[in-house]
Amino acid sequence: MNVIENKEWSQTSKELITDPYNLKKWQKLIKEAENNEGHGINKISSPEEIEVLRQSYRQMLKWYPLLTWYWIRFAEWEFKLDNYQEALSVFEEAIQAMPYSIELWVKYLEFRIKTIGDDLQDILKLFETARRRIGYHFHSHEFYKLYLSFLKNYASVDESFTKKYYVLLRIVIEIPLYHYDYFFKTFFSHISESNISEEVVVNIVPEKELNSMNTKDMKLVSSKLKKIFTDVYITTQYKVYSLFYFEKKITRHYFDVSYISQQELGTWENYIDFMLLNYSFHYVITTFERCLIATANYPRFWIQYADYLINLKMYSSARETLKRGLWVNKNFKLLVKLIDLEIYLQNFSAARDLITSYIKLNKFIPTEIHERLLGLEHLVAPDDIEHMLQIFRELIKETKNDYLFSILLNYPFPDVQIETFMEEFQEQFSSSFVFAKSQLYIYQKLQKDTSNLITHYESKLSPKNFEEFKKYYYLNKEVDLKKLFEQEMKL
Amino acid sequence: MTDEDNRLSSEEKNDHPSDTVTSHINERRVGLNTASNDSSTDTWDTIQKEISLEPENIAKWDSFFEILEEKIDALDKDEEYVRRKDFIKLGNEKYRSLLSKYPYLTSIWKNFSIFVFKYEGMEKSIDILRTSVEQFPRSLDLWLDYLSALITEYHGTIEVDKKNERKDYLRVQFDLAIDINGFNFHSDPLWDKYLEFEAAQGQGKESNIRYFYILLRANKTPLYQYARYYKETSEINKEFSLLDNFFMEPDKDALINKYLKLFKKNTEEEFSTVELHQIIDDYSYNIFLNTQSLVNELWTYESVLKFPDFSFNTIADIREESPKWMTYIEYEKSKYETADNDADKKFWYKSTISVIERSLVPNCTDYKFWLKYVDFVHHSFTTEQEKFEELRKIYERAIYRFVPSDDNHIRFHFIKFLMFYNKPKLALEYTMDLMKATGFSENKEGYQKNDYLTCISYALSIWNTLLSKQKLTEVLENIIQRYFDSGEKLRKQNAREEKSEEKESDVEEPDIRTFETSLNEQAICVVVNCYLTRLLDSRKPSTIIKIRKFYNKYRAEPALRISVKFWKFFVDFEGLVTHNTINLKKIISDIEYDTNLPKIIVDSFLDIARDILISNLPSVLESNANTGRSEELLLTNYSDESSSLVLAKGWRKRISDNNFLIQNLEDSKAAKQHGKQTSNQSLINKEDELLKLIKSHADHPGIPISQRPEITNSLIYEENWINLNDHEVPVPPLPSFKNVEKASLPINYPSET
Repeated sequence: MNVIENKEWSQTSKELITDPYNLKKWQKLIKEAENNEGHGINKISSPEEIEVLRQSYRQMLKWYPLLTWYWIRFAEWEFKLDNYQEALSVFEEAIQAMPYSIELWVKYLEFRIKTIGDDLQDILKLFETARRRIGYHFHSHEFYKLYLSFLKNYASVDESFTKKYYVLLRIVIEIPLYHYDYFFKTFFSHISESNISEEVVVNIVPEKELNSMNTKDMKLVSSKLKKIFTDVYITTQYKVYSLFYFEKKITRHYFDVSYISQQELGTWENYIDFMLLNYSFHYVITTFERCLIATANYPRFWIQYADYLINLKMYSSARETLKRGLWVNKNFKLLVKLIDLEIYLQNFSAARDLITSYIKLNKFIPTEIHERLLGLEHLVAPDDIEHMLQIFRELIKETKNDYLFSILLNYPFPDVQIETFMEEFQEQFSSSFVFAKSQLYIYQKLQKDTSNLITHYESKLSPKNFEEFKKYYYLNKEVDLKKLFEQEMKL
Repeated sequence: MTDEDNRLSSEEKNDHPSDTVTSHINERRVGLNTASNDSSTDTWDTIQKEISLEPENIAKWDSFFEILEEKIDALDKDEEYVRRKDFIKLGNEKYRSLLSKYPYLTSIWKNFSIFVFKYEGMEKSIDILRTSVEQFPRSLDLWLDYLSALITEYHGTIEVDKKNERKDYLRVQFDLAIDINGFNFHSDPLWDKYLEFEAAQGQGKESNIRYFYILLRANKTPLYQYARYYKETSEINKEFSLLDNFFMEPDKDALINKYLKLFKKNTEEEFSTVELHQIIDDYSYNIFLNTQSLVNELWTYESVLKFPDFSFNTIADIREESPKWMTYIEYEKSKYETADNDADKKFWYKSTISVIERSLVPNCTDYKFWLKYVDFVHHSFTTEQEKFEELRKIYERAIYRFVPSDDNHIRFHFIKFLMFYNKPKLALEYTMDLMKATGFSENKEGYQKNDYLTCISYALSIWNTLLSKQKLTEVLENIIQRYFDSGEKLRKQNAREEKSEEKESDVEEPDIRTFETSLNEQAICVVVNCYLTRLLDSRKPSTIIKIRKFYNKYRAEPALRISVKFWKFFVDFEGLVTHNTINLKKIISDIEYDTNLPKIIVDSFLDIARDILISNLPSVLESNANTGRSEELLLTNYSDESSSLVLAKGWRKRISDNNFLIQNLEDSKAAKQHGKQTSNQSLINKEDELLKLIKSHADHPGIPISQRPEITNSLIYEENWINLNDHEVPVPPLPSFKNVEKASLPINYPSET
């Protein structure tokens, strides 16, 4: 095997095992695989060398599935190496990962057209799928150009394509696009006095309105249509301008590991709001998806997206979105949202599975996750307090997380039992503010004398925490002015 | 211009008083130069205005008095007697009012005495100086002036009886001055003055026993000029007897015995003259060594103090120096604490007090120095009763005289002090005073919210010690009831009326009335919280019902709608005490929609509630048994950075209930339908209106546009979607339009006029 021969590659690939979130190293890995120690990769390269290249792309895209151009390059490699089927499946996989990427769709469709056989209808279906996803994208002009030329070029094969061409053009001019002008020019040239024909008119004017047009006088029809569609032009232009207010502020349309400015995040938020207020569901979805390619690293947009779908009671879409989010964004907030969704839908076992698999794979478990695990445990046996306390005990011993005491107070357990439970940990957590606060609360609930707590914690807590603790202590108490004087006079 | 504009522009004028002031100053200068009558009146008016505008600008005060004197001098003594007298009276008043506010302004005292001397004579001027040392007893300068004036007066007296009387009086004053200021490190001029005065009495220093005694006292005091007094003592001490030399010793016999042993003698008479001289030299040298080492120690502290006087011009320097004073006081204190005999204790007590008092001259507005003083006296040897009186005096000086009213630390300390010495009634009385002073009232500026609320909680705490638990709960209940049930104004009125009918037997009542009359929206929340926690603490089965009833009755009160504590209490109560998830959800929904709490607080309540619900899933499920879903609250995601009203349903509802534009819209609708409206239902869908409002701004923030061009049957609408996969594709209908003509309309920018 030649893998060992490509030393640089081996080195980088070893480094990546411990450092998988280093995008620069992944890029280096690809470069070294492509370089193949100066020999490059081509059709005569050994299968091992090609496999190195293939694995490099696969692994990288597993960690970073939103790198559009790496997907494209990967597919192009396969195509260059005469592996049509592989190239096709790379594209299909890429579309799974990034269903709303314009570049990907355009490249994919170009590829399909380039390799067209007897699958004309399949390609049309693909175009339609793409239109459903990216058709409302402000920058989808390339896609529409490709689509229109496809319809035009294959009209000889399928005669319905001519009509479809005009219908599509008719649709496109109503969509606010950055290059709206281009499509209007095309449209207006079709209905211009010199070009207008029977074919154009029947495909643009619906049958029942044809009667009101004097199709004999094409000149008149042309000017009539021009008048109508000038108003379309004005309307579309107006819409383009209002979208452009947001679009011009968006500078990054692609995924990257670097940060995005707060202003730009704000623009996305306002843009989404604007879409919600003014456009249909699919527009909103497109905007969310576009936004999430650039802002995939920010959990808030995933969560907003899920919330939007939840509001529409589209629970399974919300679930899928969150799962997709978890693939590219490892933030636990997404997982918490997903767990909450499952709990809400009363899919308690699904919620549990999510938690257990997260716990298996991760070293550090956020309290929020444990909190939900405990809640679900409680649901299984609501009356078995000892069992619950045992789980608390184990979790506390394992994680040493004092916040769990505060969570314990939320449970409808007898105060005495909570108090005795807490005493077990008195020694271990005596310097913990949360523990002290929880203990104080349970003492107050039991109406036990709390004054010894204050003396106890004065020496145990850090001065800052003790001040805070004192605040809680006096929160629902009359200030003891006498004592305060003594303390201030250090008696 | 509208009224609004008028108001604004007049405010603007008020905002820039400096310009008018400087122009007045310029006028005044011109006025003085030309000495014309008109402009001098102007100057006079200006300076009067200026001192009332800047009462802390001493330069202004100086020029005020200067101009005043010019004015008086310009008036003829006989012909314009009345006017002249009025001006002199005015000067007196101004000096007095300034000095009552700032008694530590030495130069003003001096000028005052000169002013009085000039226009009202010697005797009155001495009175002023006497007042000055009463008001500012730690001022060496003023004492010296006062004593000099007394001496002059004494020398001027011819009548023998009167002269003797004045001499005795002078000695009393000298002793007083030494008693107060003798420990001042720089008090040598005072000692000198006394010595000089006594030296002039009688027949030479050698035989003047008074003179010698003063000298011995000075010798024992650590003074900057200590060496001079030793030198002078050693020159004349051999002229006096051994006992005279030992004048300052508390135990003279022990000392004599020591020397008898040293010289192996049995009686004093056996000492020869040489031996006597030896003893005197030895003794006074020891005193000198002792004083010298003390002076050296003190010098480390004294040498760094550069600003011993109170002044507005050196405030920054004084602040910078205050830690040095503090370390000095600490040193003195430690000396006092480590002193092992009574004499030393007394010595260091006086010395410490002297340093503290001196530090309080420049730092008299700094409560920390007053607390230091309190702290020292509190830990000193005096008896409890003496201590109480002493401390009370210190507090009262600080509170009523020196510490500005925007810094109430020492005032609260005073209340604690009164409570410590078991004077709850006094404490309550003072708390009520302070409550009035810090509280809000219409004809008073400066509402000190935090201090005022502290007063409220202090008052509650004092009542706690005065009244039984049962009684206090009742009292609080009544206060709350009266506050909410009759409305604030009515309540105040009632309280005033009832006050006159009060039964004298009930001691607490008047206090409660005073308390009630000064309650405000924030204060009542403190009272409510105190009442509720008391109810909960008593933990009778009936209290849970009582607490819930309270909630239902008062939760909509405007005061409570903004009280975080109130809502926290109920979230804790239903969430953590009773674990009643249904009630908790009700409270959370009230918090979300019916309170005026800030978003961040509402968000954290939602977080708390969600955590509680997660921990109580069985009961959550039980209450939602029919829906097949759990609680929506579990899904809320408010603590997000996003504040989109379009996405956040709950938040939108809340805002739409509070938005004034929407309120206006509803009002105008209601006005149109005047009388027709029967139900309580809103005439408009507030949330929709809010969304419309947001929509009109969405792409032009600040410039609402409500009419946009639209294709009414646009192909981008979901229902008009054409699927090109279908073999037969319909030709889309021709477009129809709305508002196309609006596209080219100019945008209406909000105009600035």
